[in-house]
Amino acid sequence: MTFVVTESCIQCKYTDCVAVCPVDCFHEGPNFLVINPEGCVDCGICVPECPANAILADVDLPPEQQHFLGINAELSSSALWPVIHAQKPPLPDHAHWLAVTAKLSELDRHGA
Amino acid sequence: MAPEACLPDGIDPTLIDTHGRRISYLRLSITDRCNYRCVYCMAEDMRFLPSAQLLTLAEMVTVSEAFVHLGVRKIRLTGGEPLVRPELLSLVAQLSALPGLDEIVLTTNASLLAPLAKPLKQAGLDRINISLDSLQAERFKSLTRTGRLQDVLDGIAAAQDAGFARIKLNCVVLRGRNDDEVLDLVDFARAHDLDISFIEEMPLGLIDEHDRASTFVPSAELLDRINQRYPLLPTTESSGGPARYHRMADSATRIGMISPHSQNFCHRCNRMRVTANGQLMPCLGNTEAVDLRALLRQNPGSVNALLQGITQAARIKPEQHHFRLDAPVHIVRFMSMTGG
Repeated sequence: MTFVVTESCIQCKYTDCVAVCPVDCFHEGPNFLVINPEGCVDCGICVPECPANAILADVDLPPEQQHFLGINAELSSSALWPVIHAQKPPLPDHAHWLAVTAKLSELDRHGA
Repeated sequence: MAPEACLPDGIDPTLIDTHGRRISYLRLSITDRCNYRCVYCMAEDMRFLPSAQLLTLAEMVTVSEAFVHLGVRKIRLTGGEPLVRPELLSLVAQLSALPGLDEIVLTTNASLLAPLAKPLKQAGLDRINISLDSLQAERFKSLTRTGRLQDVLDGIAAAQDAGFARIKLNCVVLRGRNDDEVLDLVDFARAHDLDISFIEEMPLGLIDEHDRASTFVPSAELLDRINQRYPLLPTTESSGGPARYHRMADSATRIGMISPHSQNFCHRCNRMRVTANGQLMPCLGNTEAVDLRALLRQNPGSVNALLQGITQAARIKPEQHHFRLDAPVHIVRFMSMTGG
């Protein structure tokens, strides 16, 4: 099992999850975070921290978010998506984007 | 250089509290995080401290050094779940280099132990206690809320392969939940050459999952039940903690009873606890605390700065806990802050 960052994170990137992750398994891109499934210990501590409710257990992913399992695995293994160790302010327009549900087209893969 | 040589004037190298008890055992919680949510330990929607509030690896080593200077000979690493902290191996290695420390031991749920058992042994870990409340997969899942029994069984096997001896199982017994498994757990311990302790649940933290008074099982009742299958011989053996041990004639397995309610053990308490955020708790069942983290962050790396705080904690260590099942919870801190 692993936990997975889903679409709600895109363009918000609150990083509250990063402050509590015991194993530093969040990786950061320009406007999205992903979880490294190899490092995740399934503790679930990050889940209630996310203001966008973007983090789900893989077994709880709804069909329309299933592809984020692969996106998390792929981007977290890219050297262009480094581990993020500390919380930082969210993106400037986070409040606007929080209300937007379909925003996969906004995902900046940072060349990965 | 003998450890005493570093002590400032007026600090006695032996930590003795005002009730004459010598403190030789430190329980150090290295994280409040856990991958399980055991029903007696945490709320289901538990929240955790930001990482910046937890002691760093260097701070944990400094705290340990200070306690060893004051006569602590055994350190138990607890959590939360200590194996979720990536610095664990490095911590064990640094502690094992501390002169004067006799034993480094660990309490874990063992779910992440399989790949770590050998490296932990190599780093200098001496012994492991493993929490295990059920041998039935479905029930194990419901007691831990997130756990998978097979991971724990794999962890136990890996620890034995890595050469850990006298592994002890710890089982919290709840009436109607797992008290019917006591003999199965004893048989499992006998078959795998493990020790096992049964623990009366302690009233720490506000939980609403069950009524602690109605799930309470006194140790004497368990002893009766086990005694009917395997005649028990009381022993005076100690593993340096509160368990009272019994032996069976035909097995090396020791059966311990940890009975905070039915048989108060405070008079022989030899321990103190440090929480993951650096609060020194002289008693699990009371609220007194000394903020070691503040001392550490004002005086980075200074063992001497901590000595005063630790000796102060010895002066305020209460005579005993006052756990009651018929009154509101008076310790709101969850068990996961101190790791038992």
